[in-house]
Amino acid sequence: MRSTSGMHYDSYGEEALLALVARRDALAFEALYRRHAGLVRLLLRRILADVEDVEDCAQDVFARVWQRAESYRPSGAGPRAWIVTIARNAALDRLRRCKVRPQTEPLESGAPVPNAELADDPAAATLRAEIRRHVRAALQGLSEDQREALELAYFSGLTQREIAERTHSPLGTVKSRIRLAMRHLRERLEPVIAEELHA
Amino acid sequence: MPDVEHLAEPESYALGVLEPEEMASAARHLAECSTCTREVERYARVAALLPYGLDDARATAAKVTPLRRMVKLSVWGMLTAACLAALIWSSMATIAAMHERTVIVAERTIVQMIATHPAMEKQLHPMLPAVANAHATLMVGHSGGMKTAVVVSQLPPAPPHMTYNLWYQSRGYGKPGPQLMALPDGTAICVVPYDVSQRYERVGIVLMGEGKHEMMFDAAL
Repeated sequence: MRSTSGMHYDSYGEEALLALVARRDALAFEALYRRHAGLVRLLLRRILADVEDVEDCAQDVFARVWQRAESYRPSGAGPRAWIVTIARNAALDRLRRCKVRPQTEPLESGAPVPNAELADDPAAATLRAEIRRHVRAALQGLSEDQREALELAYFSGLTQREIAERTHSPLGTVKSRIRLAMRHLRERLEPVIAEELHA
Repeated sequence: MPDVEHLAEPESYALGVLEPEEMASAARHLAECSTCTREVERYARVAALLPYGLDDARATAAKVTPLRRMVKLSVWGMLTAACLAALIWSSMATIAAMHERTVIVAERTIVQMIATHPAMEKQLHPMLPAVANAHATLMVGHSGGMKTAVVVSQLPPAPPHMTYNLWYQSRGYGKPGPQLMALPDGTAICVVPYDVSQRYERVGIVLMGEGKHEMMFDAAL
């Protein structure tokens, strides 16, 4: 459900939205949620197999966004990277903890609880589809080895040394695969990143 | 020989795959090196796009039942329409002034567009027969280089649960813009607070809804 009063935030840039969230603007938070909830769930689902964990962790991620918005610095890697980093760290932390004990951490952030339905924002879904098309095309340009190294690094949270052990490859080879893969992606995804910087 | 030694693996730092001691050492360097910081930030933006490479079919949020959704849509739709109508009519004078300066950059029919895009025809025709036979005119106007007005005439009503939105494209990468507002005379408009032609190579209209989108037509700027 989209709140009418929050709709005008849909045209705001992400930096502006985060600045408003830092000032405890719940409608800006809702707009930010609509834009990124799909991506965050996508990432969480890749890292965490359990559906309940994904939903729980998604709430946790946006609670952290609400809590930490003040600490966001506009000159950084951008709001999307900032949120995705929070999501990835939260998921990897949860994964590591779950290997030791059951997850029982309550959500007590004071953040507005976004409605899962908000993730259905058509513009966000359309933008996601367009970005996905570019990312998948870029990923297709990687070798199998490069893709595997990247996936183990990003979605499993392994270090290069751990990837080398897991894949039975020399450390230098893993470093090379990751470097070449990231450079390829950077080159291919330049229009997407440039547009994000422009916005 | 450079005076300053930069990070050897900014991409690995951005991914967080260095060993803990290497991460700490890199962090200390980044605190004092803006060049490497920019490099790491660029790679962090790339890394943040990686989840898009996954299949998100199962990641879609749970949807409400159709009946509940329809009720909600009708209530919120009425409120939204009222707000939009107020916004439209309050800015009619501005829009009328922009109309006078409107330059037609394209006049395309959707039928023609389909004819040149076989893949689109396949997707569009079974889904939207009424829209597919439409003849619409896209006009882009500038107002002092600060704003862009996009006006579309003869645009048929959007199918239920779908909207017409502006579509920008540059270097093959497109993104949706604001929703077009329908006027009683069948015209739909959208005003963007900057000069679209300065940022994008093409502009168009896209029909969106249910996580899908279909390009209606677009034109080079």
